[in-house]
Amino acid sequence: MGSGITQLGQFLWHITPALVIVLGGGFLVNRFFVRKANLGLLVDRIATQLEVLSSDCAEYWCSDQSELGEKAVILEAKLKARILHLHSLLRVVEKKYATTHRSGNEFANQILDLQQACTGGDFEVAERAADRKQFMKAVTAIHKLNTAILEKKL
Amino acid sequence: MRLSIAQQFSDAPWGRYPTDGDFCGENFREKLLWPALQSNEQVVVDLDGVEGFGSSFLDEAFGGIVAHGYLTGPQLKQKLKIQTTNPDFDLYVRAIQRYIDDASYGSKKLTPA
Repeated sequence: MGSGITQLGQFLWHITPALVIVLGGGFLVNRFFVRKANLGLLVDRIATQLEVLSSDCAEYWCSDQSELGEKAVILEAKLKARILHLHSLLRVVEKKYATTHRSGNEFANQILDLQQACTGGDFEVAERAADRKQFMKAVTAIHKLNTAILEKKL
Repeated sequence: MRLSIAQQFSDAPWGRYPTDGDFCGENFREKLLWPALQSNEQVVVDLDGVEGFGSSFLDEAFGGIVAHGYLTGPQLKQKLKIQTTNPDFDLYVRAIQRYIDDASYGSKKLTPA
């Protein structure tokens, strides 16, 4: 009985350094590589969403309401839903990959600017004419957010 | 007083002016929000249950109170509380604050339909 405990003690004594190295290595790999790779995937997804948003904005803001007809309603719903989805993805980035001093609020102003630019002005107005100025505002806001999120990946 | 947009107005608010539809920002402001603000010290607007908002609706409904000269920005902020349990709708809460801050007091006149 006593020698069994001694053997177990010796076994643990020998295996502990290896276990510490494996666990520590796992932690470091996760901390610096897997985490970074996951952030990269999330940023790529946001960038794709921004591209689609830009294309929907181009179609919506560069056409008269009469030209678009029923499609305007679909585009309006898509724009609102996509902005909400982007906001929710950005919240994940802020929560999981926050940088210390501005944690939890890094993209607050950019997403607000984006929402205002994409769905402001004569958005959902029945007699809307094509508004290239509003489109320009939307594209600028999209690109600003795109740059900010890509910086996060680097 | 508590005002639920989804329950007392529409779960799909839409547009800025009455010509855009019945559930537009101007109708919300004139028929629900402004009367509630006139007769209550504090009005809590609940955003839950709504599919989503366009900036045009929010600007007209909330910024419109200031732009039409009903209340100043600080007066409105004192009387109004925006509530939501949906963390994604935090975007709309901040947007409303911004439209109130950005609105220029008395810059618009309401033209009767």
